[in-house]
Amino acid sequence: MNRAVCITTWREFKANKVRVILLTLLFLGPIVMFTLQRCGSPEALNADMLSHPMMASFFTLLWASGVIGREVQNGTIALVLARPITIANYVVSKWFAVGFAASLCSVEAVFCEHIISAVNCPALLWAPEFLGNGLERIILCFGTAAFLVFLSSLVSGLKDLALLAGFGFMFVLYSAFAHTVYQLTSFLHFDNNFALYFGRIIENLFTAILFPYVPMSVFLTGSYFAYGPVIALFTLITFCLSSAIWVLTHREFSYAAD
Amino acid sequence: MRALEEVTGPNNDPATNSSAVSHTAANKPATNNPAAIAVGSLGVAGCAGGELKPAGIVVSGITKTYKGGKVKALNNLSLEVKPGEALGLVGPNGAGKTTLLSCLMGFLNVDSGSILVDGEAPDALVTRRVLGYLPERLTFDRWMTGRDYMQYHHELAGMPEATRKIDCEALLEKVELHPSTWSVAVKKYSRGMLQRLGFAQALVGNPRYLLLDEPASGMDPHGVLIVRQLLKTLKEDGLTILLNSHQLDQIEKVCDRVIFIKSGTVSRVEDLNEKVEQEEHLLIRWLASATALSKDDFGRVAQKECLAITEINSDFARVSTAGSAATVNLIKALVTANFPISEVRPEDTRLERLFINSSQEERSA
Repeated sequence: MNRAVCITTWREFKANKVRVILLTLLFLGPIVMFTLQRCGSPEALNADMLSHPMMASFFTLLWASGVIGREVQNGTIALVLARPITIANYVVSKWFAVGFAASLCSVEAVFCEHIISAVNCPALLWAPEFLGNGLERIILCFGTAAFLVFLSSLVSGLKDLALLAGFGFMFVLYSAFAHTVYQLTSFLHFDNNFALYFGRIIENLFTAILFPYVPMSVFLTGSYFAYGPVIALFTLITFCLSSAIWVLTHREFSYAAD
Repeated sequence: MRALEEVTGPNNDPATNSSAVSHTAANKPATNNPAAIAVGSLGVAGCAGGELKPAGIVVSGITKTYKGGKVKALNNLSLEVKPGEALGLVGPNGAGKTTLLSCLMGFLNVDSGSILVDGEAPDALVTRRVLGYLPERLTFDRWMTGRDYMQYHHELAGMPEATRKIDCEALLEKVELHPSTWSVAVKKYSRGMLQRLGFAQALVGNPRYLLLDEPASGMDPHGVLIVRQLLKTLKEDGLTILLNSHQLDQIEKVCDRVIFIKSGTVSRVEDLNEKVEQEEHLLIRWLASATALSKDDFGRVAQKECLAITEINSDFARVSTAGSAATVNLIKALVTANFPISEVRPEDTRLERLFINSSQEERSA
C-alpha cells in the first residue's frame, strides 16, 4: 500500500467543496433526525433505534465516486504510474483510502447517535448493538469501496455513478422479471423449483455486490449462516480489486493527440 | 552561428551566466553551491535507480497503431540513444513524436517491435526509477500547491522522507520558480509556471534518462533561456536526454544528434557535433553614419566571399556564403576595409536549413 496515494486521495476529497458539503449533510442529517425523533417521542429509547448500517454505503459512494476515473480524465494517472509503483499497489491504496475514510465517517456518525441515546437513556451506554452496528458499517464500507473502485477503473470522470445507477436499474428490472416469472409458473402449476432457486441465486448475487452486509448478531453467535455473507464479501473484494488491476494494466495512457 | 562565435568569441547568452543550479549526477561530485549539494543528496539517494547498468535506450522496429490499425502513428521505427547523449526529435505535428515518448515511458503498448531501457522493458519498475518525463500537455491535481505536488512525486518516486523538503525546494529553485509561489495552489499558476513545475517534477528521483516533450512550451523568453541552460547543465552532468521540441535552435544548442521523424518513421539522422560546410545566410549591419563607405563599397568588398547578396541597403545587407570559412573571410575582409560592422547574425540555423531542405525535398518528391 502506498502512503502517498492514500493521503492524496483524502486531501483531494477535502479540496472539493461540494463533496465536503454533501458529506456534512450526510453526517448531520441522520443525527438531527434521530435526535428529533427520540426527544419528541413518548417511546422508550432502545439500542435498535440506531440508524441502519446501510448509511455506510452512502458515505462510501461519496468517497469513492470517480476515485480512479477522475485521475484518468485529468491525465494525472499516467505520471503516477510512471513512478516506481505497481498498478496493484495503486488500486489497493485507493481502495484502502476510500474504505478507511468512509468507515471513519460512518462510525463517527453512529457514535454520535449512540452518545445522544446515552444522554437520554444512560443505560444504553454499554449496549453491544452500537458495536455491532459500527462493525457492520466498516465491513460495508470496505466491501462497497471495492466494487466502486472497480467501476471507477472502467470509466473516466464520474461516469462510474452512471454505471452504478445502471447496475441498480438492472437489479430492479430483474426483480420485476423474476417476480412475474414466479407468479406465472405458480399460476400454471409448473414445477418452479429451478426458477425459484436460480432466481434466488441471481438476487443474492446482486445483493452481495450492492449491499455486502455481514450481520454481526449472527456472526458473533458463530452460526454457520454467517459464513455465506463473509465468503461473499471476501469474494467480492478479491474479484473487484483483481478486475480493477486487470483493467488498468490493459489500459493505455497517452499524452499524444488521438 | 558557429562561424560567428569563432570571430566574436564565446556566446554571451544571459542564461549561461544565470544562477541555475547544477544537477549533480550520482557519479559526479557536488559543487560548492548549496542548492546543488541538496540535489546531490538527492542523487545519492537516487542510487536506487542505479541498479541497472547504463546501456541506453534501444528501440527496434516499433509499430504503433490507433483505432484498430486505421491510424499508424509509428511505423517500424528504430533508434538508439547512447548513455549521456542528448538526442533531439524533430518532425511536423502528427509525426508520432509524442507517441514515441509515450511508448518509451510504457504508457502505450507497441503493436510490434521492442523497446529496451538499460536492457529492461520500459514499464518495469526498475526502469521507472531511472526515467524522468515531462509531457507537453502536463496535467496537475489543481488543488495541490507547487510544493505539495513535488513532495507527492518525491514520495511516489520512493525517495527518503528525511530529504523530501530540501530536495523538492532545491528542484523548485533549480527551475527558478519563485519561492512565494511554492505554497500557492497549482490552479493559480500561469502556463509558464506550470511548465517549470513540470520540469522540476521530471527531475524528481534523480533520473538517468530525461524524456522531454516541448519543455519550453508556453514559457516566457526568460523561461526558455532557463530551460536551455538547465538542459545544458543536465547534459554536462551525464544525463541522457531525449528532447522533442519545435524550437530548433534549442535542439541545436543542446543536442548531439537529431532525428527527423515523418509519418512515424525516421526520415533523417544528423550528427550536430559533426562540422558541416554548408551555405549560410547572414544579416550584416554596419554604422552608416560612422563611415564614408557606401553600399557599393560593401558590394565590392563582399563580392569575393559571397555566393549572393540578396538584399543591400545603406546600413545592412543580406548575403549568402559558401560556409563558415567563407563567412570568417568575409568578416575579415570587411574589417580590413574599415567597415564599422555592428552586427553579423545568421538568418537561419543549421537545423532550420536542414528542416527546410528536407521539407522542400519531400514536397518536390
